[in-house]
Amino acid sequence: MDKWPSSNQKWLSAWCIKPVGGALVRQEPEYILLALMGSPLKKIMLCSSEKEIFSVEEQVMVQHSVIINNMIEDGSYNHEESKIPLDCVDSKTLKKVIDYCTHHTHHHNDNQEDLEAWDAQFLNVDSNGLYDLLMAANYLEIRNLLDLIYGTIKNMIKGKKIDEIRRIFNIKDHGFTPEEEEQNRKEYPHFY
Amino acid sequence: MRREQVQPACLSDFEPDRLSCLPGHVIDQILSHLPLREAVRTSVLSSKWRYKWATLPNLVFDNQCHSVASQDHSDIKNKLLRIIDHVLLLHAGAINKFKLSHRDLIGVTDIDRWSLHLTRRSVKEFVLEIWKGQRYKIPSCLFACQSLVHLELFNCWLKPPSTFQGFKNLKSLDLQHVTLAQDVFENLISSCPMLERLTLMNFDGFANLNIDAPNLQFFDIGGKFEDISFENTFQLSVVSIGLYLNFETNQNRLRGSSSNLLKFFVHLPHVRRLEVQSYFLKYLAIGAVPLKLPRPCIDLSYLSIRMNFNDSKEISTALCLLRSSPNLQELEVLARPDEQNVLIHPYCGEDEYCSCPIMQLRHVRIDGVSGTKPELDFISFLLLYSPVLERMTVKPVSSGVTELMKELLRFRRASGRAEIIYQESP
Repeated sequence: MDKWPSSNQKWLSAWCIKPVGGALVRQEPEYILLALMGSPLKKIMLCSSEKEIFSVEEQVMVQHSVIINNMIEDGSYNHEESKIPLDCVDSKTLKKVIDYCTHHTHHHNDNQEDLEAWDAQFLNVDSNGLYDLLMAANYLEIRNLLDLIYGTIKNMIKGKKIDEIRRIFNIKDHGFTPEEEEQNRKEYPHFY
Repeated sequence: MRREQVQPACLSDFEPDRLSCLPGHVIDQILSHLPLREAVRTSVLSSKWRYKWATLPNLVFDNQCHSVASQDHSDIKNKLLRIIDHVLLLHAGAINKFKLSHRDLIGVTDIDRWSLHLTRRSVKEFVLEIWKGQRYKIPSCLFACQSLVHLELFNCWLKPPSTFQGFKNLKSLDLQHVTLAQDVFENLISSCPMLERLTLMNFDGFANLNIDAPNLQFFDIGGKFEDISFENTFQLSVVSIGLYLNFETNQNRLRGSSSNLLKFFVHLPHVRRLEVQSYFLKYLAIGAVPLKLPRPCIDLSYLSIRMNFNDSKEISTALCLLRSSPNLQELEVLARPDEQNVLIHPYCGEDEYCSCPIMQLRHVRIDGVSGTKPELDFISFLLLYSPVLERMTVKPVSSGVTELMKELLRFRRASGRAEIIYQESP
C-alpha cells in the first residue's frame, strides 16, 4: 500500500505554487497547514443506535453511500463538531458496513475473483445479521452492497423447493389453512 | 467463474420470520431480482407472501420462464400459456414492462389477447420477440395504446388501422425483421413527436427512408434501402447506418447528380458519433463529392467507416468528412474487399490528398488491410497530419504481411507520442 495515500499527494502539491493558465495560483492556506501537520485524511464520525461513535475516512463513505454523500455535499455536516446519527443501525452492523466500504475503496483495483471471495466471506453471517445489513444498506443507499445482498437472497430462493425455502427463512407457520395448503399443492404442483 | 454464495446457517426455533416482515419496497426489490417464475412461486410460500409478487412492475416471459424438464414443444407451449394467463389475471397494480421472447411458437390469438389486456393496463414498455414462424401481425389495439414509452418488435408485421393517431408518448422504437409499407413507416415516425431513439434493422416493404423526427437523438439502421433523407433532425447526435445492398452504380444516371453526402449532412449539424457501415459510404460517394462540407461537423468526435480502398470516390468522400470534422478524436476505418473486377473509380494515387487538414485525432484503428498502395497512402496521410495522435492500431487481413509492417515503421509521424500497434490475427 502506498506510503502516501492519493489524498495526501493532492495536498503536498498544494504546497507548491505553480502557474495555472498563465497566472500564479496559490492553494488554500488551510490545506497547506494540514499537510504540515501530517494528518491530512479527512474523517467523519458516524454514531450508531447504541450511541457508539465510529470514525471513518470521509472518502470511503462518500464513495459508497448516497445518503452520506448528499449530507457532505449540501454542507449539513460540519467536520469540526458533528457526527452523523444513524439511529436505525446498531454498532455491530455499522462496523460491518464500514468494513465493507473501506475494503472496497482500498481494494478496488484487485481482481474480480479476490473481491468476490472477500464478499462471500463477508456475507457469511447468520440470517439476522443479513437482514440487519440489508436494512442498513437500504437506509444508507449503498448500491453495491444492496446488490450483493439481493443476489445472496435470490440464491436462497431460486431453484429451491418451497419446504426448503420455508426452512431457510424460518417460516414456521405458513398461515394457510390445511385446506388452502392442500388446494395450492394440487393446483400448482410445479411450484413446489 | 462465480463461486457459490455461502449460505447463512439456519436459525434456532426462537428467531422470528424476519423475511416476511421486511418493508414492502425491499421485498419488491428482492422479487424483482428473481426470474418471474420464481417470484410467482413465492405466492405459495405463506399467506403473507400470497400477493407480494402481484405488484411487480416488470413482467418478463422468456426462456427462463419455466423449467426445461419437458422437450415436447406443445407441452412447453401450453405451460407458457398457462403461466402468462395466470400472471396477467392475478397481477395487481401498474404494469410497467411486458416482455415476451420465447423461442417456441406461440399462438397468434393468445398474443392478441394479451396485447389487449396490456393496453388496458397502461403498459409503458412492450417488447415482443417472435422467434419462429411468419411475421406476427400487430393487433389494432396495440396501436391505440397511448401509454407506450418503449416499443420493441422482432419479426412482426405492422399495419395500423386508419384510426391510428400515433404514439404520443413514445420515446424509443426498436423494429427488427419487420414488414411495413412506406407510408406506414413515415406516418409512424412523424406521428410520434417525443421519439428520441429509433432502431430499424432488416426491414422490408419500403426502400426510401425519410426521417422526420424533431426530438430524435439516436438512430441506428441496417438494411436494404435505396435512399435516405432527414428532415428536422437537428438533435440527432448518434447515428449508425448500414446499407446491406451493393447497388450497381450506373454512370449515366449519376453524372452531374447532386451529392448524396451534401444532402445527408444538411440536417445533421450536431452529430457526435457516426458509423458508416457496409456499403453506405458507396452511397454517400454518389454525385459530385465536395472538398469540404459547407458547414463543418464541429460536434463529431467519433467516426467509423467501412471503405473500399480501391474506389477513389469513396476515399474522396472519407477525406471530405475528415476535412469537415475539426474536432474528430477517434477514427475507425474497416476495409471492404473490392468485389468488382472493373474499377469504376480507379485510384488516382496521391492526387487524392490535396488540401490536407490538420486533424485532432487521438486514436485510430485500421482493420482488414493488406498493404496495397491506396491503403498505405491513407495511413501515411493520417500519420502526417495528426499531431496529437496517441495510438494507431493496424490489423491486417491475414497474418504475415511483413511488407505492411515495414512500411508502417518507415512512415513519418507528426505526433511524437504516437504508438503504432500492429495486431496480428491469431
